[in-house]
Amino acid sequence: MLSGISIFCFTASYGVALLLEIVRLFFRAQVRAILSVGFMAAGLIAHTIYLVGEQNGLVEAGPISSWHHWCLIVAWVLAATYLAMSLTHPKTALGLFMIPPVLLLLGMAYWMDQVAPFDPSNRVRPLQIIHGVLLLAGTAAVFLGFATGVMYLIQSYRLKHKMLQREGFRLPSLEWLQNFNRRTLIVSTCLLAGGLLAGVLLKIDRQTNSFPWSDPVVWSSGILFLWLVAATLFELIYKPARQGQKIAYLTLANFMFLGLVLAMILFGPTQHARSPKEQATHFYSLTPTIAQSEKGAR
Amino acid sequence: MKLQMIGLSHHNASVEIRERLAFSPDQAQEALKTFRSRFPDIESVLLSTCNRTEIYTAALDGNLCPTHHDMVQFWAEFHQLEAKDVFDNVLERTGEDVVRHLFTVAASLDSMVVGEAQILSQVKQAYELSTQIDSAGTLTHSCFQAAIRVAKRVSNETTIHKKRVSIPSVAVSDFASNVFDRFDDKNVLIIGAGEMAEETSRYLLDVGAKEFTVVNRSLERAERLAATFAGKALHWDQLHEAVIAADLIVSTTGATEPIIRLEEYKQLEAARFQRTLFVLDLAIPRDFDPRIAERVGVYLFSIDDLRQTCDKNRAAREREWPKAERIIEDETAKFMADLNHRATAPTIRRLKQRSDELKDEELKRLLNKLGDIDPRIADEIIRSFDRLVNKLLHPPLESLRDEAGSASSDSLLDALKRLFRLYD
Repeated sequence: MLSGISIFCFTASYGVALLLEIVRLFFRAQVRAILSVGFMAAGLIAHTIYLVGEQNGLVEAGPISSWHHWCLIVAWVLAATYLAMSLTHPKTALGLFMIPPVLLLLGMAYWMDQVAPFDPSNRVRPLQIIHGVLLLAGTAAVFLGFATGVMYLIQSYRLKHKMLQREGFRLPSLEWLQNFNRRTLIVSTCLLAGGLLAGVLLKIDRQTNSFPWSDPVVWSSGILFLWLVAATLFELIYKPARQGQKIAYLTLANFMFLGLVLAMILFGPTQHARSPKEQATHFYSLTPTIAQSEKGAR
Repeated sequence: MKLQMIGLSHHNASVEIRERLAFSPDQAQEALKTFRSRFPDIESVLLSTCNRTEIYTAALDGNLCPTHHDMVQFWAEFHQLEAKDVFDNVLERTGEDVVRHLFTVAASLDSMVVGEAQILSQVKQAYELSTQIDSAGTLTHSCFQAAIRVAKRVSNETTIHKKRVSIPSVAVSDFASNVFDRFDDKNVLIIGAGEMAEETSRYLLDVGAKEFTVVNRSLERAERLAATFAGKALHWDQLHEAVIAADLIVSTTGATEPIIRLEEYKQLEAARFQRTLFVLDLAIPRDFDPRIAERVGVYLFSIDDLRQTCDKNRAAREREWPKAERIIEDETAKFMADLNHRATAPTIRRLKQRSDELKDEELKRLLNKLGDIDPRIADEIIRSFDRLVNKLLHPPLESLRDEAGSASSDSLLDALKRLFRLYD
């Protein structure tokens, strides 16, 4: 990879930033905050260089070439969002909630490295790109909603029990978290709906007779979408659902559904979006040697 | 160099005296101008707040500084008072004590409510006023700039400013601010029109609250309090409507029974659509049924909940106090060392320059007399002269450095100037 940067480099950088956020709970030092932002920024730069390196031949490969790449981009979006938020809310412990999802996605990207890439013939089709990008952005929004939902519940519990904020464990106000949660709920629903619609149009465009309903990614995504529509309608129609804890629970449930979809991609017998030539290769049936030889063949 | 301060504060003067001797912003400007015309070589800064009035003066030549009597006389004349009225109520500080005091004041460690943030902006305003009208000079510039920096350091390195100790301030800064992101769009309902309600409302006003509604059994008192915050007053029988519309409630009535029971709140809850409600029940006995705290979206704090937090904050502040004091001591020592260095540096420079001139003259004469000599011998002679001068100057300069900052520093510096005729 470009300049010898590997996933480990920026994962380690984000990991150190997380450790420094944990240190915030026990020690108060300005240098800690500077180091934390520094490691996060360094990780993000390395992450960007890695993605740019992987994007060599962007026109041929399309912006998202594999599940591995997809996870890396979602992680990049979350890391960049966190970095921006840590600069606007420097006194809050956002990192404790926002860096772990980034590391989780990087872990998934590492596992997915052995999963077959997306079908090259589809990757540059505009509808395919829209499908991929919208689903990616929707996933990032669900992750963000999950992190702020957890923060909301902790902050609410603390205030209900009259507990003072610890210096190292400050969280944004309930109102801010609630507004952020609402936005992520609506935005993620719209994005995922757009992504799924683009997927359906893609199938129609291909003029294939059969729709892959049995594909676990397709049906689990459909469930996620239906859930998001139901949750958003509930939120829009039933006024009390716009308030506080209910919206936090809705975003947590969104994440559970998203988790289901990602689990299907990781462990399910899906060949969604993969190259027909390589459909027989599934990551858990591969030995590292085969995976290596496939990479070499690409 | 001389720094001095004459002033009074809440520590040594009652509010009546503080009011009589205080300067309004316009008066402060006029006083500084008058002071400047009377003592043209003296730098001055006038700090006047509701809790303190202090006049800081400084001069590069200490002999020009006005005496304590001169300062008292000036102050008394300005306010058209008897000098005795001022003299009996003011304290004087000089030298290092002035620096330490100013740092302590700016860092809000000398304030009535320790840690309040307002004093730093008042110190800045006082300094800016002096700068604008050219009353500040080299010494006051460095002293006040250092004070502002020290205050920021204390604020950054300790939590002393973050720990509130009064019940209304804790309620607003430690709890209400964790519920609401902004207050300018929130409806604040004040039930009761007592002092506590007014004080809490002031804190809410400070954080941006704009919309106030006051409900009180006496509509007249409600109207009076509402007028203070440009709010509206409602009849007592409109209490339930007001609760439905409210985002934040401050309740301080003297009622002997709860004014909002759980059953009543349940009826109001549907009309509120479970919107977040922050309730500060500062009444004893309580105005809100404690079971209301269990309802969704309600954050109810009683006076006891807040008192516990105040006690915790007070203890935390006491733990932080030595750390803040260490910063003040450390910065005072650094500032004084720097100041003394600046005071002695010109004299040392002149002494070295004079010695070098003498050495060069004598060397020139000697080398001319000796004529064409071996360059190595000439070098040896030059080095020998250098060593001689350095050895001669070393003890007086060492003594000057050792004594820098001590009481005898000025007299030693003066003696050195006289002995070596180093006057300008």
